[in-house]
Amino acid sequence: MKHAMMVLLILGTLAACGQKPAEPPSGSANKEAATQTSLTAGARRQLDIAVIPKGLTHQFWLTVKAGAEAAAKEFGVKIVWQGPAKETEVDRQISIVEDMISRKVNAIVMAACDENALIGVIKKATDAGIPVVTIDSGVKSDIPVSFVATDNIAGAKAAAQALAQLIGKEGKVGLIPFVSGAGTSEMREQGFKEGIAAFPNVKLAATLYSQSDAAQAMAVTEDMMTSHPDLKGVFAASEPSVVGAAQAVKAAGKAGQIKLVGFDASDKEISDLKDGTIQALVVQNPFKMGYEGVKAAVDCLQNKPVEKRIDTGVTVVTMENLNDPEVQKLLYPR
Amino acid sequence: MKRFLARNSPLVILAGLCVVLAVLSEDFRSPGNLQTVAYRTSVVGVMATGQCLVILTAGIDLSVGSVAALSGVIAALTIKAMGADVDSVPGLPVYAAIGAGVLAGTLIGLLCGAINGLLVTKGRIPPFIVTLGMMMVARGITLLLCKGVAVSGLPDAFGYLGGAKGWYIPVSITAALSAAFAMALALTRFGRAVYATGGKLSAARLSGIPVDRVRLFAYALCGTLTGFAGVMLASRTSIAAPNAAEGMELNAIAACVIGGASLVGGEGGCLGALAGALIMNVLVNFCNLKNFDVYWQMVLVGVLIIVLVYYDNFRKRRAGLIKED
Repeated sequence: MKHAMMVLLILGTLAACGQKPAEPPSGSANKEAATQTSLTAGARRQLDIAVIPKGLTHQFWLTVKAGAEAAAKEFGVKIVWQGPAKETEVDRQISIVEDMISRKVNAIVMAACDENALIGVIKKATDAGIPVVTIDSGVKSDIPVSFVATDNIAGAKAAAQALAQLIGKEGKVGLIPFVSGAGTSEMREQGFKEGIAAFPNVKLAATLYSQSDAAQAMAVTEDMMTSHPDLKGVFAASEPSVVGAAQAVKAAGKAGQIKLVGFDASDKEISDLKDGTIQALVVQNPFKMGYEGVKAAVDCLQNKPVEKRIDTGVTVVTMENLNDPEVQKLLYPR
Repeated sequence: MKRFLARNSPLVILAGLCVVLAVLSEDFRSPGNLQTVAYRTSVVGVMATGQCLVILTAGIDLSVGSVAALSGVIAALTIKAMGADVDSVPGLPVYAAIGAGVLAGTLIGLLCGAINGLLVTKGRIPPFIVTLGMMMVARGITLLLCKGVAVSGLPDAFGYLGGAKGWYIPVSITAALSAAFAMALALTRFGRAVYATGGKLSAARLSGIPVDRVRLFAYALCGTLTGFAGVMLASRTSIAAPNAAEGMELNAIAACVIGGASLVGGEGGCLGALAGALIMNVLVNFCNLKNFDVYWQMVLVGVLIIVLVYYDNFRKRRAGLIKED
C-alpha cells in the first residue's frame, strides 16, 4: 500500500512539473471582448496581427513588443500579444497559435519555441489563410512568409573574434550556450566554434549549458574556472547566461582578468560592462525584429513583395562605443 | 554500528561519493571547488529543510520554487523602494534597506506557507492541489510585480547573504538552520508531534496531538524557510529574476527523498535532506568539471538518484528500520 502511494505521489509530482500556468478565464467577459474586437475590426477594417514571443520574461521580448507596437502604430494595425511564460513550453505555444487561428487574426508574427514542433501548427495557420512571419527563432520549413532575425552564426562569430582579440589571440576559453537542442543556442555555439577556429592558439576548453537560468550559469562558470585555472575568457550566449557568468567571475575576484563576452544587453549586463566585469556585448536588435516582423506581415497582407530572409544585424558594444548615439538608441529603444 | 550507519546512510553515501569523486578528479578535491559546491547548495539546502518538515507530516509543497522567486523579487523591490541601489554609498540607510528586504522576502514566504497550511487543514483540500495552485499563483504574482523584467541594480552589500563576498556566510547559515531544525525535530514536543502526525494521522489525533496545528506550523515554517532561500538566491545572482528557481521544488523534494525521507510521511530528517541536496549538487559539479555531455549528465544523475535511494532502503530494511506492510 505504502509503495503504491509513493509511486502515485512521484508520478503526480512529475505531472505537476509539466503543468502550465492557468489560462485566462474564458467567461462571458472574454467573449464580449472578442465580439467587440471583431466589430471594431469590421468597422475600421483594422488588421489584427498576433505577435507570439517565446517567453514573456526577459527584457529582450519586451523590446520586441515595443518594436511591434511601433510598427502597429505606423501601419494602423492592432497587435495581439500573447506567449508562453517560459521558453521551453512548446505545447503551450502550440495552443496559443491554435487559439489565434480560431480567433481569425489576419496574420501571425512569432518566435518559435522549437524549430520542428511548431511546423504543423504554422502549416495549419497558412492553410487557414493566415500568413505567418517568424522572428528571432525560425522553423525548419519554407512555409513562413519571411524569417526576420539576427544571423546568429555571424553574431557568435563576431563574439569569438572579439574574445580572441581581448585575450591576445591565445589561451583557453569557455562557452556557455543556453539550451542544448534549441535552434538559436545551437547556432551561437556553432558560430562561436567556427569563429574561434580561425585562431590556432585559442583553445575551447569547456562547453557547459546554463538552461537559461542565471544561478545555473553562475554554477557552470565556477566549475569552468575550477577545472581550468588558466581560463582566459568566456563567451556566454544569452542574457541569463551572461548575468550568471559575470556574477561568478566577480565573486571569484577575477573581474577583468577573465575576459567576458556576452550576447544581448539588459540593464544588468550594461552595468556589468560599465564596471569592467564584461568586456564586450554582442547586441541584437530586438526592436527591429518586432518592427520588421509586423511590417513583413502587413506587406504580405497588402500583397507587396516580402523578402524570405531579413537580417536584423548585430553590433559589438564595448566601453569605447558605448556612448555613441547609434549604440545608445539600440540599448535604450524606449 | 550497523544500525547507526543505516540510520545515517545519506551522510555515509555523501561521504563515500565525495571520496570516490575526489580520487577520480583532482579539480573536484581542490578546496576552492568544495567551497563553491557547498555555497551553491545553500539555497536548495534551506528549501529542502522546509520541505522536509512538510513531507514528514505526509504532505508535500510544490509551491517552493515559485514562492522563492516571489520572495526574491519582493526583497529586491523593497530594497529599491527604500532608495538603495547599486550606486548608493554603503552606510546605515543601505543596510537598513537590505534588512527590510530580507525581512519582507522571508515574511512573504511565511504568508504563502500559512495560506497553504490553512487550506490544507481548514479547507480539507489535498496538499498536492493546494500547493500546485500556490505554485501558479505565486509565479503569476511575481511576473505581475516586476512586469516580466528581472529586478537588477541592487546594492553591493546585498551580495553578502548569498556568498558573493564569502562562501562561508550562506554555508554557515544553512548549516545552522539545518542543525537547528534537526534538533527541534529530535528534542522538542513539536518535533515528536510532526513524526507522529506523519506516521499515522488518526492515531496521532486520538492520542491528543493537535494534528491540524502541527501541519499548519509545518507549512508555515516551510514557507518561511523558502522565502529566506529565495532572498539568498537573489543575493547570490545579484538579480531577482521572475523565472528564478523554476523546477527547484522537485530538487528540494528529491533532496528529501535521497536523504531518507518517505513521501508517505513520518520518516526522514533535516540533516538527511541537506545531505541529499549536497549529493545531487556534487554529482552535477563532477559532471561539469569533467565536461560530460549534457544529455549524459541528465541520464547519469537520474540513474544515480534512483540507485542511491534503493541502496538506502536496502540498508534500512536489513537493519530492521523499515517495517514491511
